[in-house]
Amino acid sequence: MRLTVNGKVYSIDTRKDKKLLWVLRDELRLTGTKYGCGKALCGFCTVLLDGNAVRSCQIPVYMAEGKEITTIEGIPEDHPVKIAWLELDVPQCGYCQPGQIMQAIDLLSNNKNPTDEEIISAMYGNLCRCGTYPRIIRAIKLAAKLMREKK
Amino acid sequence: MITRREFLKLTGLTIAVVSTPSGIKLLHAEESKDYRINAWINISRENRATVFINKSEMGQGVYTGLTVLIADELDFPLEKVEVRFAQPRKEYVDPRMGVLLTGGSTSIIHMFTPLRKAGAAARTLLLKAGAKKLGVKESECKTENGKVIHIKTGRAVPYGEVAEIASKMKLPRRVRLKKEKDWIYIGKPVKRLDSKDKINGEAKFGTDMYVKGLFYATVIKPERWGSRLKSYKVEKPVPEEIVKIFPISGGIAICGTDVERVWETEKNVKAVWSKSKIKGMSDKDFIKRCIDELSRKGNVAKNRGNVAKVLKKARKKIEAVYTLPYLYHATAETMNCTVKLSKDRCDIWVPTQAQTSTLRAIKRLTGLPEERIFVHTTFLGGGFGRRAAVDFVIDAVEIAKKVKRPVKLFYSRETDIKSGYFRPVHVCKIEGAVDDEGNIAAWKHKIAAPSLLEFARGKKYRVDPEVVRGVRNIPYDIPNLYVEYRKVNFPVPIWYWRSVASTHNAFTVESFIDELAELAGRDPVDFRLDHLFSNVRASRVVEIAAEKSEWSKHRYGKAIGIAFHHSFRTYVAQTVEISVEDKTNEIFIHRVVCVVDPGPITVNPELIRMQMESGIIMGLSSALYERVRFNDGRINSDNFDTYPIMRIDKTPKIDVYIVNSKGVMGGIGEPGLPPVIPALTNAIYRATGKRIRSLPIYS
Ligand code: FES
Ligand code: FES
Repeated sequence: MRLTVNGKVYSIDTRKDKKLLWVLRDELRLTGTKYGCGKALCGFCTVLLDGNAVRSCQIPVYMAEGKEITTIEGIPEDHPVKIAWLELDVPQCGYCQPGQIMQAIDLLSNNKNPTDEEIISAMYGNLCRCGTYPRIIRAIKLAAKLMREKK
Repeated sequence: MITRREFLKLTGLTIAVVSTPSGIKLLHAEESKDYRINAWINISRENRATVFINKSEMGQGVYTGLTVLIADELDFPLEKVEVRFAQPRKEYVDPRMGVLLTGGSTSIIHMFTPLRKAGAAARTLLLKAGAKKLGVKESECKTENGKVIHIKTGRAVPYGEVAEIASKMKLPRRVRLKKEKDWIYIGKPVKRLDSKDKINGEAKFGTDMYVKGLFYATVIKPERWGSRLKSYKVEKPVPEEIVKIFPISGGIAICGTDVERVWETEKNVKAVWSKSKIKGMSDKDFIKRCIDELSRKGNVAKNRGNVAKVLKKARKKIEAVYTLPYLYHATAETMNCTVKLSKDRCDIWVPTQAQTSTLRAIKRLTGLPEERIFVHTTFLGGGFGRRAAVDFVIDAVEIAKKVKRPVKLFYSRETDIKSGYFRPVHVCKIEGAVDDEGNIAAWKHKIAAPSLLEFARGKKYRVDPEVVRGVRNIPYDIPNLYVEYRKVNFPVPIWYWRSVASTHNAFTVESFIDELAELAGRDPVDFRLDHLFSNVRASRVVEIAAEKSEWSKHRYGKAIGIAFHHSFRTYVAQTVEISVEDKTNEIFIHRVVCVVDPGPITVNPELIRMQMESGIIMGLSSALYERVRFNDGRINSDNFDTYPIMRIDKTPKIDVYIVNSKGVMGGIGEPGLPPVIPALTNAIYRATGKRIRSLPIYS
């Protein structure tokens, strides 16, 4: 099976219905993507599939074949979302943060200037036990601003 | 990947032992360019420092906070520091605890002086070595930014160039610490040193550790706590990835080469458990049992004045019963660890708050001497107390012993909840009276709840201090105070949950203060201030919280509540401003004002703000939603659908104000949580007239 992750093509030999999350982590050792619930309830496992945020714990790996998979490791350090996250020191324990960042990237790719309500509805599925929500909201707004300025 | 370095001096030759998940590599002196200045600090020839910290990073910020303490005295640039987690060895114990353990909001308090001394001692040696190298007197030199500088000529030598010489010098017996005005990092909003790795997905948590040839493992926990395994059978077909299924002390272990399959196979195992005392009980029944126990005699925790007499005669008196459920920590990362065990060595990669307990558990289970056990602490995906327990370490080591292969024990969310170690259920009845001047005349407080310390320490307590804390030492001036504790133990494992007893007692005490204020016809802020008259720090945070939240200003359609709590040596007052939608009863939380007095020193104001925000959100989450469900004695919460925690939609605006005062240093990780719960329910009362005495609010 061939998988395209962060622009690299991997050829892997794995169980076809294994969830993408576990292939990324246990086989490709891209461990930035995390497990939290296995039931699409927490968002820690969020990755981009052809640019759209998905829960990798729900996707059998065969369904990701032939698609562009992007994980946290594939987002460059100078991406406005990462810059904003660093600027506001969003992470606490950090475990949920890759998922938060991937979800935020999805939001900002569709909406250049999200309102608070739009941020909340886009991020609703991403839990954070450490309570970094206030900073996530601020960081998304800052990232949006950085993205607009870049243009 | 290098997870840990240690330096041994063997026959005058420095050898670095680099332990990696795949084994141990010895590097000879030529390859190694790190010099151990003291236990906490290595400096490389290239002038990079490695500091070892003895506390776990679970989000609370010690990775940054403790490093700053060392770097400040070392006069070393933070961007050239690499941080490592120390092994549980004698030289790294928390001097006040005697072990390596992260808990009780004590890390900065306990390590504030020892780590600065370590930095200062190293700096002293480097200064001496540098002066020697420059051929000048020590007194003519200073240190700055990782260099020794000859003041007059400006000639400088980087620490790295003299690190080898310094590493051979004897540590000074006494060191002089900097004056506060000379601090370079302490007191400043230094950015978190772990942010970048966490943002890039590179920070290594326990679940990110792999050892060649490992098996994944999980454990089926007892169907009901308080029962033992009688027998089990495995229904076929079992997936081919499953290697072994067998009983261990903690339940039934399943081992295999694919974690998803390991978890799925739980359903193939049909176990028979012995009868448990809690069979038939729902979560409401646990509360009910505690309420029933209120009428039984307990032990006196405090008796001041004559409560019975005053209550009997009082014209204005009330009573109230408050109840709080079991809570699950819900750390983002579920319990896990990776163990590699051989005949003469054990390595464990573990997100733990308790390195010494981990070491001792392994020693007990394997018989290995302590120096052959290596506890490699990873980042923790949340802790909140849960990771101070070693139940999952014991599971993993027992499994590794049996399968003779490295084991990665990894609980699914479902297993993580079933594994227990909950914040205990708690019930109390408070009776109070106010006198004609509108002051509290008497306060009678009876608690019926499990004893946390009996479970945690396996000893008996007449009055468990971790149950009555915050009530026995209630900060308000109350002439007649009586506190009684009735122990009600259940076989459900209970444990420290962020802020411990304060999550119960701030809620009950601060709710009842508002109830008494109403009885007295007084304003909740004035009422508190009058009863905190002799407590300057407490009054001050309450006053500032009232001022910053514009307490006395009426806002159309909104209501505000206040609460104050002193815990972990820190004073915190919070106000919560809400509105409630009439038809749906939905609560909107608009703003939380938090005033925190952590004592004389703010090591990092931004980290304090983060911890206040974090505590506030976790507190609101517990107040609004959290309750471990039980059905017929079985834990009936499974995942985030049946144990909901707060999502981003309820996030209020949070304004944190830090005020310093003389006195002892206070903790930061926990004290921000307790007051927000009663501040919220007090606000709800003012908005709706409905007094919340049972949590959670949405149940
Ligand atoms: S692990 Fe996929 S949503 Fe929680
Ligand atoms: S930062 Fe810890 S769960 Fe979000």
